[in-house]
Amino acid sequence: MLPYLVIIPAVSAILVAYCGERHIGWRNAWCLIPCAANFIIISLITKSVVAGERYLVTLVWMPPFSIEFSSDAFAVYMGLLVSFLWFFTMIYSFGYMTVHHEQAQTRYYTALMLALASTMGVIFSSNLVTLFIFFECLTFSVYPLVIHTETDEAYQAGSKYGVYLVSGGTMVLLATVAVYALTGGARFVPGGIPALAGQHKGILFILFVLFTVGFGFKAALLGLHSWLPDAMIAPTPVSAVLHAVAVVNVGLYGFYRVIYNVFGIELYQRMNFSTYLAIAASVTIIVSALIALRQNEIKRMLAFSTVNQLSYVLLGIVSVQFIGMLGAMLHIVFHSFMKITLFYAAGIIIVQTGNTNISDMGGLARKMPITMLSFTVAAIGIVGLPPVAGWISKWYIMQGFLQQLSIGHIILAAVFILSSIIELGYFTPPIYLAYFVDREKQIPKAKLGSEAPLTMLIPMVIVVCIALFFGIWGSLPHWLAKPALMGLLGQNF
Amino acid sequence: MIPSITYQSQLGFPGLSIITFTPLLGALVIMFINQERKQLIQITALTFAVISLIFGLYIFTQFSTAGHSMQFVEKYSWIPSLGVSYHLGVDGISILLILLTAMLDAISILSTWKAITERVKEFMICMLILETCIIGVFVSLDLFLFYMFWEVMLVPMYFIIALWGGERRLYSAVKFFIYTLIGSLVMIPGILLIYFNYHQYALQHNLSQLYTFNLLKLYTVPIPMAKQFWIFITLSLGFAIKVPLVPFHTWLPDAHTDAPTAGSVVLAGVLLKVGIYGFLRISIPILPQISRQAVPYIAVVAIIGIVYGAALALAQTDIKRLIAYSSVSHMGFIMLGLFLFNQRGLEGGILQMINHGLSTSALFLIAGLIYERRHTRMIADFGGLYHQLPVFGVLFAIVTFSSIGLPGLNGFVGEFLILLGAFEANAVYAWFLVLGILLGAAYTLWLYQRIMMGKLDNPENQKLKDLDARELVTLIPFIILMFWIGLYPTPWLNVMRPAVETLVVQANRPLDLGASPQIPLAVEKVDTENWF
Repeated sequence: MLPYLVIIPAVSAILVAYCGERHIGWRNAWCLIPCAANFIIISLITKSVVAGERYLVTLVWMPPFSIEFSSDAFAVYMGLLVSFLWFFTMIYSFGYMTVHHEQAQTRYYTALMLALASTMGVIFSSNLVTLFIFFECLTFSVYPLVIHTETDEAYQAGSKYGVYLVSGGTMVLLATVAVYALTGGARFVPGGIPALAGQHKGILFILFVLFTVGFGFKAALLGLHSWLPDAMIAPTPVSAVLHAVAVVNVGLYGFYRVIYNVFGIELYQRMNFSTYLAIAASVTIIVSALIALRQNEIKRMLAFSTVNQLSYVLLGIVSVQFIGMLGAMLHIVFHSFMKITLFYAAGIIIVQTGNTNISDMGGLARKMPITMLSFTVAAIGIVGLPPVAGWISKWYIMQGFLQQLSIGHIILAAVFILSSIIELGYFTPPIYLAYFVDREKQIPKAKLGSEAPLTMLIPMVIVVCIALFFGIWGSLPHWLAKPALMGLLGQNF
Repeated sequence: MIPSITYQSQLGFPGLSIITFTPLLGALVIMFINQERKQLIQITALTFAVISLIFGLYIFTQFSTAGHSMQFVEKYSWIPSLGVSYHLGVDGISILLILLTAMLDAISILSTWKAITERVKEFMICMLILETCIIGVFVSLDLFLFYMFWEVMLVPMYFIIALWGGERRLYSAVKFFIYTLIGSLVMIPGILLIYFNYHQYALQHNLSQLYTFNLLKLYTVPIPMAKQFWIFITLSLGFAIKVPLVPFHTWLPDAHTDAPTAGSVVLAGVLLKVGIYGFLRISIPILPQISRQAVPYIAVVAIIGIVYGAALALAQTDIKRLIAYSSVSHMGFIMLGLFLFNQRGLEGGILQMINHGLSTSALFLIAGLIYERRHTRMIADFGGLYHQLPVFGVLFAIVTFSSIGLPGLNGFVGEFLILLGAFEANAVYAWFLVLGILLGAAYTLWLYQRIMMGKLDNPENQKLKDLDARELVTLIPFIILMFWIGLYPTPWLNVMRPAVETLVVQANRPLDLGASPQIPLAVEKVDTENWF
């Protein structure tokens, strides 16, 4: 079944391109079918995967190398997340692209389907070569989305995106080849590839740097992040895909596989890599939060918020406590649901009012009550306040630090709290303006705005409700997150 | 000594001779056609090229991947007193290059339908003779025969550039001729040294045959290191000019810029591979010990070529010059892969020869298609062509991706294998290779961006027509092969594997001056351990 997860979206990309503007109904159908099909396929295997079964499909590519897909619980976990959110993003796109009168919609949908295929390929990959192949395909299939508006700015953002991510990909390639040459194989092993533990320290350090920088570009570590805010020039659904569904999650996925299944968390900790990563992630968290405070453009602010939130996940991993790592695992999902809501809301605001700035959001809650309510709920979640999902994962990660009372861990906990306060700082202005300012006095009449069509509202409301639901019934994702983490760690943790 | 299988037991007819000389026959036929009947000449040329290709494909289906032997061997004594024989045969490396040559020649003849309107007759004759010479180089197992084809190859190529080229065609043609002629002349002392070394050896060991140019025999003869040094210097100079390695590359950009599209396609696609093939077929097996010692030097030159070629490619304003410099960079990549002397590096290098032949030839075809429409090659004159030429844009994108080694297309497979080989041999090389990949992605994607994307603001570009059926036919085979090699390279690697295994053994054998003759070179199965 697993290769179909890639093949179905890839084939529908061709069908979408074929249907084009002539058969818009069919085109839209071919956008939705693969998302739904993937979600159903993954759901069907979920139960047996949790029970411990593992599907492995090997496609001969060039022996002894092969393209391999396998389904461990982590892959299923990510696959469910991506295909679910992708489905709603497609529905949202139909509304957004129509209302906003975007050009070249067929190219847009084709690229989105190719991106879905590549993302699925990454998630269900079973060795580093497969991961790299689809990783690189994802980079290229997202490029047409970044330059979608074809303005000079978009091309600049596209070039930056290309340079950053292709460089990152090349580093991953180098590291992949090195792992092959050193250990004679690069299949992911729960608990790490054993042959790697005996290698020279310098080589391991170089591997660590290559993998961290390579995946760091996609996961937007500080210093490697600047393509992400620039890429906000793309249509808002694309931003949602970049931030909440595909690209950055694939970066995190790379970190997970490398830390747990290539190095192994024990080796990672023994070599002090976890400390280095913790420092990088802490700096990213604080600095990106401060930068986010200064932004007036709503999508750029959200972009820096993403940079900030992704590093929470990395911090959770390097806490090296089961509870902290579980928190990180949960945070991927919770953050995706909340951030996608924020982008949906931002997109609705942009489409309906033409504003892209926070300062122009005054009094918006009267005109768009549902949108602003969703925005507020998601923002509360990102900050980490109950009852929205974010607080659970943050709580877990924090516990991971506080279980080991060393100075370093207390500093990390302090970083966490400080960052949450700053987050409160940057999410307050839009919410305050929206609810407590009289819009008619400020804004010319033509731009007042009104609620969006249902194709955009419904996905947003569903997604935000799920985020709220997770916050209240927090144990729900555990039944999958826990086996996912156990599967990554292997028996000996 | 590598065992050989004669053509009788495999085919029943002399297949290699047919592939080699069918184009020459075509050239003879065309000579008797009135030069006013251009269409007839074109169709005749295409027919003979296609016949050669069909025979090539048929032989490819009969090719056995089981043993380590030369196949379809034809051997007739030619000048017995000098030990010269008409000796043809192929292994897994040369059969692929022959197919590539036959395919590219047929396609480039098809691509000239509209581009070449003057002196069609002479042009087609040149193209067909060129094909015969290139295939001849790839099938020769006799050093004399090899050198003959090698030398004659210059003449048709010179005329193709000088008569149907661009603005500075005479300058470029003469430059090409001088460079490559010097290279070939320098090779003569090297070849003679090999020849007389065998003679001495034969006298020492009382062999019945005192002189031979038979490559398979020459492989088994040990050569003292001092002699090896001089032979290697002379031969390598000749091959390096042809490849071209830095600093002998300066003829290439000029030749490419001024050659007509068909000339560039053949030049980039196979003529450059002839130099590398020389290293593979002659330098490495005959002079393995000195070749091993030369690895660091070759590697440095190759790396300089990779970086320097890429840097120059970034700075070019002319499409064809850019692709030409990219070839310099890619050739460095291939040379480095081959001179790692391990299974993966050699496999990757040889596969990358095919890949480069496909992707760069396709790029030149594309440059030609644009040139036919706009009569300019300056990148600055274009921009936003995607809006006007969507089909062309998609094909160009695939070719671009193939050239930069996007996973799923052919370039990635070759690059991956070379990288892996580099890691096994010396990890430092791998860093430079990665730099080359990055720069390659930069200039190729930038080229695409400048030509195809952005606004369509030049009014002359707004009238362009998309590809017609003939032009599609010239590009589609490339696209199919790119995907095939990228997605399922196993059959291609299987074809070349025995030959590569032989080459690995040959390249790594120690020097044993006292070795008694007639002991066949043991070809052991190289350990292909399971990687997972």
